[in-house]
Amino acid sequence: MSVLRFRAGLLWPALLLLLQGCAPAYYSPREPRLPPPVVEQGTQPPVTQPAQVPPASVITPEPLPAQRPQSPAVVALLDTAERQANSGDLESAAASLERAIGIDGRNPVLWYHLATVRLAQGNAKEAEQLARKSTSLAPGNSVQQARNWELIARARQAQDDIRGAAAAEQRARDLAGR
Amino acid sequence: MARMKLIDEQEATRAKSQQLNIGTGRKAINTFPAFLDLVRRQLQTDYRDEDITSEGLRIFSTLDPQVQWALERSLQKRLNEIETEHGSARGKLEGAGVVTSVQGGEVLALAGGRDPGFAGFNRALDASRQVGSLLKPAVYLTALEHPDRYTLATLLDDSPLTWKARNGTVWAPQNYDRQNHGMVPMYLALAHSYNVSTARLGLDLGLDAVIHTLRRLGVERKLNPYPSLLLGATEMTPFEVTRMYETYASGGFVTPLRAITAVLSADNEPLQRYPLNVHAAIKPEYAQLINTAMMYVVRIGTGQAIYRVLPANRNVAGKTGTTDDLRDSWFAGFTGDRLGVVWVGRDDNKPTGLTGATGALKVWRDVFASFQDSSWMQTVTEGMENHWIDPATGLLADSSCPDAVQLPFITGSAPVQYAPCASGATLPPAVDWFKELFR
Repeated sequence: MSVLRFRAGLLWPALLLLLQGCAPAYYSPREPRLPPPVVEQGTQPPVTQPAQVPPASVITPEPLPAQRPQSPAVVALLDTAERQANSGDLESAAASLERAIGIDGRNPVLWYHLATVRLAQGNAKEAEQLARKSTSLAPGNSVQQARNWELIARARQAQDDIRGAAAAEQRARDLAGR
Repeated sequence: MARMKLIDEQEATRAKSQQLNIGTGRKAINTFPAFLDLVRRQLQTDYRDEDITSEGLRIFSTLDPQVQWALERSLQKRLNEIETEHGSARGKLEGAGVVTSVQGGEVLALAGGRDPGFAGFNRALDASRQVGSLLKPAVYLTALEHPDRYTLATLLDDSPLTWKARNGTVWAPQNYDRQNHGMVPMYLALAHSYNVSTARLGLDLGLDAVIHTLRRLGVERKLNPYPSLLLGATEMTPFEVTRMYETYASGGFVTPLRAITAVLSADNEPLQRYPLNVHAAIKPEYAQLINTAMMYVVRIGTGQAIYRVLPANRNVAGKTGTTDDLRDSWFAGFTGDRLGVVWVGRDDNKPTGLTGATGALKVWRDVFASFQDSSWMQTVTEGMENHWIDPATGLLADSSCPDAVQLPFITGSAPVQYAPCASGATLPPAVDWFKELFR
């Protein structure tokens, strides 16, 4: 029991400080807390509404993520990630991109950049998965999809998957030709 | 400790006379003990005890205090209310919940019980409970991955079912309402959570195929290949359920649930990052089909009480779960931004009198009413098309069909025949939502 108590005594204050000092805790304490993501549409409906639900056939979807205004926080994090990547600090660049995804997870551009960084780090397998994720979030966006397939081609080359790389290149060309 | 002169004799005597209090927990001084419990466990997979306990590690977590408070508040308030409404014993009902970000798998909040300050048994991580109907989407997904045989409009047989095992035991599942519903299109069978048609579908597909789907969704624990598995006769913790539903919510990508993003040393030297990784497990098209069915669960099925509070224009996809004799009440649901899983039940596993909709759903609804989340929406268009369908026949509909619904299909898999209600009058063309937006 004393061992346990000893552990608890040291661990919890350390965690507590961090959790309370910089909520939400994934922001570095040295930076100001980021503003919340931009609300997508000008006016939001009231939280409480009568129990009237429209029939399912008239559900109207919201605009695509690509068309949503980008939050200033996401733009700033993208800039930071670019600077970090250019100075060779790929791990920090990845961390910045992950934070941006935490704010705007449906933005295919962020996933594409993260894939690019992972590929530069030599992690080709993860890069391909991230590029596929970007594609799944970019319906109808053939420019972004073509970029993703180009990246997948390079990731496969890096893994000596020559045939897979050629197939990916072909898909990128097909999409670019649209 | 007295021998080491860390405490004096008097203190040692007093300490010895005190009870150990194991299992009853204690009021922790720190906030969010349940979430910190998850942080500690995720750290311990990478750090030795002495690393964690040495001073000065700086740990960056994914906690969102606003979400955490909303979850804690809702659990407390709702469980009190439910006990009052049901006139049941006070304080017996327990609950747990997890909220994550849909795309990044960040754990935003975690509640291990009704009392948020209690640092004892963490039900979100350690309470293994029957999942009931939360398992059903995996059965339907297994079917939808064969678009040549199954679509959301395929009629399922909900007539009475008696299944005989090789050893002679008989299994005859019943619907919750004790009725049979004839031939039901797949999306409606899931929306109303019919047991009989789901069981028949699962037996046709084979238990191994369904188990394979559950594995791809990220379920790691042992699953017994008994037919009752199809209706959720298997135990999972709320956290495991969250992992499974994260794969649905993220469009088919297994996304590890992270409570930590990075660990720094005392002098801000990065020691370890917990990077975001994803793995494509289910084709996005199929994920979209099953998520659309789960959207109907909330629009017209067992989850429709969501819209007594949430705005009608916010799409939510989700599933209720209720187990035998009303022992467990579950709701798992997601918007475009967040996924939440809530469990309500009793520690002694006695019946609660609650269904998924009358218990856990209410907690989930309170939590999500405090967010301005965007809608869950379809994200795949290539290789898919929308059609108007007549629910009575599962065939194509036109404007003479009063109950027509719009359903997505893998291109080429939609029915080609028109329903009897169709008279040739035309409905507005089934909108390809996203192509429209790009025009």
